[in-house]
Amino acid sequence: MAGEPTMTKIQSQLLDIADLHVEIPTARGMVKAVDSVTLSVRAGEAVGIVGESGSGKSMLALSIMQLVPRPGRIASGRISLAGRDLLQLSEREMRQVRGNEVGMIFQDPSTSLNPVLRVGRQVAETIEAHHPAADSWQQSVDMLRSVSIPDPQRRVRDYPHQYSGGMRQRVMIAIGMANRPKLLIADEPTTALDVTVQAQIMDLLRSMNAETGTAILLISHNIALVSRFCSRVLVMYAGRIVEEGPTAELFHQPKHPYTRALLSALPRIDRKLPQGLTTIGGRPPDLARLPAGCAFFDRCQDRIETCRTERPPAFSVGPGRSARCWLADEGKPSC
Amino acid sequence: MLSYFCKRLLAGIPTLLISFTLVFFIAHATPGSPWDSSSNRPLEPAVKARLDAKYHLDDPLYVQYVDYLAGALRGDFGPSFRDRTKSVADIVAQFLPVSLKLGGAAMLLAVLLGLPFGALAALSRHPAVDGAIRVISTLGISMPTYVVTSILIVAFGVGLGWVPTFGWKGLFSASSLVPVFSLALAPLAAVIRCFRTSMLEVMNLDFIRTARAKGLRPMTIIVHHMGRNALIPAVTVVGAYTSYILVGSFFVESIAGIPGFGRYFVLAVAARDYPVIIGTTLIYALFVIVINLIVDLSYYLLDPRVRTEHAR
Ligand SMILES: Nc1ncnc2c1ncn2[C@@H]1O[C@H](COP(=O)(O)OP(=O)(O)OP(=O)(O)O)[C@@H](O)[C@H]1O
Ligand SMILES: [Mg+2]
Repeated sequence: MAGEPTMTKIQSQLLDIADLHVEIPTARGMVKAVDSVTLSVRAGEAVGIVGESGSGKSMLALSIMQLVPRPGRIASGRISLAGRDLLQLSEREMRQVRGNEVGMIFQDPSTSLNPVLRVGRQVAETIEAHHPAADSWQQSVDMLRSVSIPDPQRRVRDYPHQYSGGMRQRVMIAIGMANRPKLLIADEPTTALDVTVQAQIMDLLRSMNAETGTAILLISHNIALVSRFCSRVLVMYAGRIVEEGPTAELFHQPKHPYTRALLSALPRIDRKLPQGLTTIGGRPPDLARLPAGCAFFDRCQDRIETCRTERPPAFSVGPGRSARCWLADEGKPSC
Repeated sequence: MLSYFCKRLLAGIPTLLISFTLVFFIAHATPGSPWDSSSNRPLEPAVKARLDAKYHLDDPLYVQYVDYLAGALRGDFGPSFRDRTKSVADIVAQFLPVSLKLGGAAMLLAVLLGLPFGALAALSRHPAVDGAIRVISTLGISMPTYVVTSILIVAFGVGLGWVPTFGWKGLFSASSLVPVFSLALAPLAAVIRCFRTSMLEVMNLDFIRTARAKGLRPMTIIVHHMGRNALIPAVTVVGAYTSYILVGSFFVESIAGIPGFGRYFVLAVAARDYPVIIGTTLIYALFVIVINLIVDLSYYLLDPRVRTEHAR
């Protein structure tokens, strides 16, 4: 981020996004779904992105794959993967990245699989798209086994509707991991699942991360889930990253009022899996008509006059930590 | 599964019986008699009476019905009244194949052109392409067949002289071009419209996004992921047109001079040729039953969810 201490580790960054803007032209004006986002993920790291519904998490995820749905588009910025600038690639080269170097799993496993193709085919075609694989069918059996589908030899011939919701999400993980990608993007992978199944899916993702060294970018509105899974967390609000830092520090000492609001909206830590972030007062701003100052201004408990008119940059608030809040500017006395 | 389709076939029997009964009574209820129109000279009442007696048309209607049904069950529909040297079976054997060939070729053309054009209309980012295809398909649905046939014959037969204006020399001759195309136009337009709509629906579904995220080639996504799913509703449209097109069109066959089943049926109705009317109607009913069954079978093949339901 702008004010981040420059630990020159560019070499070891797997994913490096700089000043990314994603825009969607609408009748109401230009929706700034992703607004000057800068983030990086190291190889093998598990990074979380949290934020309310509509904060632009999915758009950010899809823009890494260059799959932002029309009429949305990446307006500017840089996305580099292992040192290669993805935005400079041709569509054909980008296809070699999708499903191969970067895997992706989505929120609703019941609609994310093709209903008329066998599960095995859907895994196998992912392999075939990137490797000359005569044994792709056998490999897809192995992938199903690795995501703990019982009796994979037989179930590989089933169709998605013959699987339970949790099993379908396991299949999605098998597809995402089929080519051993460097990065797996998981966009709300457990939101559509039962609580007990959620934990199993997260365990599976964790073991995938540990065994294969695939970095995971976990997107969720469930801050508790992210806190248990990720070593680093980014908080997104109205298309921007408002706070970022190592999980433990960010949770114990949130610097941005939005992060504080998120955390105080949670039930006690020792209770089970809190749902949603619905208890913060007010609504997020219209992304087509963002205010001149801080996007959180209307809902902020701690706002000062500067916040109304001036957009806060990301201030460094400790090693690896930053917050987009005027109150985090340690050069100024905070009230 | 097999038992399901056997059951469906058996369920066709009452349908056939009802069609038989309806067409029998409707045909006999229409005024006029078979002996009216067969000759320019009106027949003597005595001759008519003798003919009626010979063909049992003077029996009470329910007796005729029972007799005729008994014959029909044995496969004997009797002689045609219009051409008494021929049985109904002879007439079907002579006229149906021509219509079947024409209709089969027309349906094949409609599907082979309709699917790619429908897909193109849905996928093209050029509004002009979608617009042009939609204009053509709207015209195809709204123009009556006899107008299409007449225009084509005037343009390509009379004007350009590329095709004969009248007559039939087999499917693989220039004489089949105009009738095949005229027959194909309405189902082609319907297939384009239906497939375009269902492609548009499918292309925004989540699993298409998954397919893209796998890095599949666009053609693979269009054919295997969009096409396979969009085909399911299109099958219904193809089925609905097939039985209707296969038995032949009176207009196309009359205008282009084709000795087909569609034309013969209308002539038989005009002549009160009861056995032929009943026989041809039953053939049509049989087509509808069999083709509906084939449509169901294709659902079964195309959609694994239907398969699981039947397995239960
Ligand atoms: N087709 C579109 N037209 C206009 N605005 C859109 C469109 N698609 C998305 N948006 C806007 O873009 C913003 C970001 O959407 P996005 O789906 O990325 O949010 P999200 O954080 O993933 O939310 P959720 O938790 O509901 O998945 C939203 O405010 C949404 O209103
Ligand atoms: Mg989302």
